[in-house]
Amino acid sequence: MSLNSYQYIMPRGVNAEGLAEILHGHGLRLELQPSVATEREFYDTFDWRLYAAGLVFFIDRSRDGTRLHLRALADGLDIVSVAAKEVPGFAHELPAGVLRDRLLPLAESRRLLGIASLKCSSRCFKVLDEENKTVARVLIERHGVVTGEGARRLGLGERLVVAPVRGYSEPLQQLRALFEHELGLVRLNGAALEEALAALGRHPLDYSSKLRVPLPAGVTAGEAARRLLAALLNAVESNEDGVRQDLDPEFLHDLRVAVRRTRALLGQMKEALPRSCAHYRQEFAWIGRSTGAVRDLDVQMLAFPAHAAALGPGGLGDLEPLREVMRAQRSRERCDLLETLAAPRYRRLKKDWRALLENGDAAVWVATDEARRPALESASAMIEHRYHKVFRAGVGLTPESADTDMHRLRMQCKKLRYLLEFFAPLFPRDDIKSLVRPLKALQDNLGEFQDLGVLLEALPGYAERLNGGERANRARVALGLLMERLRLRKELVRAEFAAVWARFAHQQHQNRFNRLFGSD
Amino acid sequence: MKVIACYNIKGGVGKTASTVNLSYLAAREGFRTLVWDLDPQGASSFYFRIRSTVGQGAAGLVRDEFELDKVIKGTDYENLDLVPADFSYRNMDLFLDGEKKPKQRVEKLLKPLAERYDYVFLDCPPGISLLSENVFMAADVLLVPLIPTTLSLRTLDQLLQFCQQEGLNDFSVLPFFTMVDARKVLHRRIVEELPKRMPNVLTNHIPYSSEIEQMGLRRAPVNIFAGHSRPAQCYEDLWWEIKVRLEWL
Repeated sequence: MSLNSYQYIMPRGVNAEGLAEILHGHGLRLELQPSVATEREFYDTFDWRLYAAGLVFFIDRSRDGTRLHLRALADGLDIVSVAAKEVPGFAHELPAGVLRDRLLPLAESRRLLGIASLKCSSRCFKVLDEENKTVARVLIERHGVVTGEGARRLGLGERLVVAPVRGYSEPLQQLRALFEHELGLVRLNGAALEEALAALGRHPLDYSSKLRVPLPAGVTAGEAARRLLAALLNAVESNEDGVRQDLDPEFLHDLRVAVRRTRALLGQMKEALPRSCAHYRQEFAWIGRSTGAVRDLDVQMLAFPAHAAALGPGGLGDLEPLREVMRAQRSRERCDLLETLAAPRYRRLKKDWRALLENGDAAVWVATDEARRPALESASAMIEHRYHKVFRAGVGLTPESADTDMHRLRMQCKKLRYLLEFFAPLFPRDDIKSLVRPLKALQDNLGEFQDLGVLLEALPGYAERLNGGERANRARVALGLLMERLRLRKELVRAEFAAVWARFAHQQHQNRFNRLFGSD
Repeated sequence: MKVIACYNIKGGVGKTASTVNLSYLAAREGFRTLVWDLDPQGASSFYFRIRSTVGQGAAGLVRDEFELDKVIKGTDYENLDLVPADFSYRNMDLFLDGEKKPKQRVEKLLKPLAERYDYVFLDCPPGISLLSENVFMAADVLLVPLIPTTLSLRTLDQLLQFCQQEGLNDFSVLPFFTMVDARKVLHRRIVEELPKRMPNVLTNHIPYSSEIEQMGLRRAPVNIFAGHSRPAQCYEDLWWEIKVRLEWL
């Protein structure tokens, strides 16, 4: 099993032969392995889920084969290292094993994307005991970052690596004492990911689907809105490529969330915004509509395997013809979506919108009294107002209430959540966290209820497009069972609503809302 | 953590070769794997080039004087560690007998390692002893290598009878054939007949081969020096089948 390796900056003027001489001089039995050229490629999801969880995932390709490594950032320890032919697109495509078990819950449906490449040449000295058993390894590694243009390499210098073997602490201590005390070498950490990214002008965690816009105390409402809207436009643009290439469903999801947040902000702060914003609100509504159909199908298809699994081992197989219909439908809807993203109207929207946000006349952002008001005051008023709206929409709901009433509450919750997220930096962090928690639970309940409703409404339509034949008949039978289960699940989710609402509407949370945002 | 014991009352049936090869295959797939060489002869340790010790390992472990963790050694292969044999294991029963709950010591010693390893392979000495009863208590699966001979089958029956008498039913017994010589009528007949009366028998078996014999010379798992050979492939198939059975547990 791998242990912490100790890495040092290689002393200048010492080569492999020189190092061998030093090691021999200290009575170590060595076996020099042939030089190995390795290509290392780092992978993570677009939103850095692995790095954020303290992990570095990379593949090393060399003459000896290809290995995937999952390494802990904290201590440079390989959690798992496994032979593999290639890096799969998604964690669920990994063979069963520790690596899949660790990556799947983090990456979920996100694609594993290459984020940086290194070329590394290394020479390894095995340190042997009398049985010819390896008791430690000393490696000289030379790294270069591969940049996009013409695979230019940026040198990261040479590293000296001591890789210990469990249970053999003496040779490790001997080597550490030699390198650290006698030769005075400087220790390094990590798998060279940060260095590689820095050479590429990037840094880890440079994208997050969470909105993180710092708002200084005393900022005006107009300026806060401008900063938030600019960050949301960046989020839209960051996700476009992933949507165009259909890398994974989360790109479209994040793009749509950014659009919806933009619309929510334009709607709720209209008095503090330049007049021309009304036009952009309509334009963003158009983007929302144009991307909705594909997202609905994504949601349905992502949830499908879990729903189908409830029908037993053959369930997913029987329903495959239905999934084929859904995939075909998604392909058609995606054509429309791509047309929207390529349309001059979309390009113009982004260009003009950015110009207004960044280069336009700064005075338009402080043109009204509302815009000049401190953001803290303005945000408190909006949140209080929205909180009451949520309350009014939810307080009278009974198990018999119409689905549309549930949906209305859901929309109000979304707007409240966005406001809390936009202006979180202006309020005590722990307070916001404890308000968001029950709100999120409420949204999860309403979201699942809504998704089940949409799916139940859509499924008969897909079934109509099934061809004849034995496969299609089996699919229809399975669909009948599936719909029955979905109806039961929907009833259950609805039954759970009362408890979730009670937690949200708890007096303690009401008091906290009033204390933080109340006008009196 | 799954504990897989490679066990047979009879000696010389391929327990060590199977432990070494199967544990290597598990580690190669990325599973964090530990081999505990419980046989005082130390053959697994020898194959992995790790010296068996001649100290008081058995007494120390049994009496809680040190933890198993302290004696683990890394092999030359990633994800694969070994607790080397200790010559004092020959007296293990004596030490065990003097302790409280003498049948649960191995299980107790392995417990702290549950988060660190995915698989633990126990390479057991032959015979039925207090140590074997410890192995039965600790194991999720008892892999029983069998040469397809009458004597070998008899020892399997003895084992099953013993487990029944002692009410040991917390683990699965998975026998599989080793050293199968397809030229021998008796081998062919037993390999064909036993699964009919015992559905637990694994369908993949290991042929008699010079490559397996060479493991002693090469001191390495067969997949390292003869990866494309038939026995290497057979061990891969066997490991795959064992994993499937483990999923059913």
